[in-house]
Amino acid sequence: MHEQIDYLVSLQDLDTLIRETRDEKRRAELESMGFTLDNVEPLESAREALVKRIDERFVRVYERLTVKYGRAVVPVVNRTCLGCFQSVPPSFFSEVTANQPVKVCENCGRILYFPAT
Amino acid sequence: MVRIGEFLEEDLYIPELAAVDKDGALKEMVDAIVRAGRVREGGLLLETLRQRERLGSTGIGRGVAVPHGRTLAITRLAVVLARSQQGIDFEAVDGKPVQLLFLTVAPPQERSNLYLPVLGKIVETVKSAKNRRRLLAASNFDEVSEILEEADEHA
Repeated sequence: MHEQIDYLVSLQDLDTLIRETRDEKRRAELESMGFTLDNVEPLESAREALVKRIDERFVRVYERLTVKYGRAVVPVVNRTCLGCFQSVPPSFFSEVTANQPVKVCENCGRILYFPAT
Repeated sequence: MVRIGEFLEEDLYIPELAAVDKDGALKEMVDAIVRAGRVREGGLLLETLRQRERLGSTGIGRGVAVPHGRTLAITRLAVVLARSQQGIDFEAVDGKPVQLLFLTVAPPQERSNLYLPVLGKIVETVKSAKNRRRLLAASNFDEVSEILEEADEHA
């Protein structure tokens, strides 16, 4: 897997964590279970460092999709984009290439990740 | 009702961790998920768990840690149960080493939305000193399953 898509997945996971930590209801629920969620600042620093490792053009796409959909990177499960639930063509399952290290859904434009083993 | 037993599988059970520190324990549990064929990229999952620990330790005290996170790297919720008889410094809230670890990971989009209920169920189960003691003393996976099933029944 190309490192750029791995960075984008890490960025999406990190943004999910930051968003959940800032969600008062979610935070209260986790704290009531005994979990501590004190230090959001290191996550923001980690995000900044991660963004620097991603090609600027992908960062722009990621930020634009985040504004539009809330979640920019979505998994493909059972050959279906879990962003728009449309089928992903079989050709998309071939290896990524240097010219196309990041694939986007032909229907919704979200960045696709293929988690299946 | 959420049942932990539904998510714990034999290949996700580590009777005795080889790791002696927090990061090593996380890595060993992620490796179990990779070996079970549940994720392709263990590195992405490990990174998510490490980031979550930066927010504050998931060592909730009484010798228990529940490392958790949501990641695109996994397609369905998974629970790994690992034990360490000698205990691992997990920077737990009470400062005590942890002997029982329930790693819980789920995809960000989860139709049945079980992630938080499963975390809650694990926390509730390990609040019981009897359950903790029995889980640590269990000699095989079947016994562990039985203990968790009983805990589910009595909830």
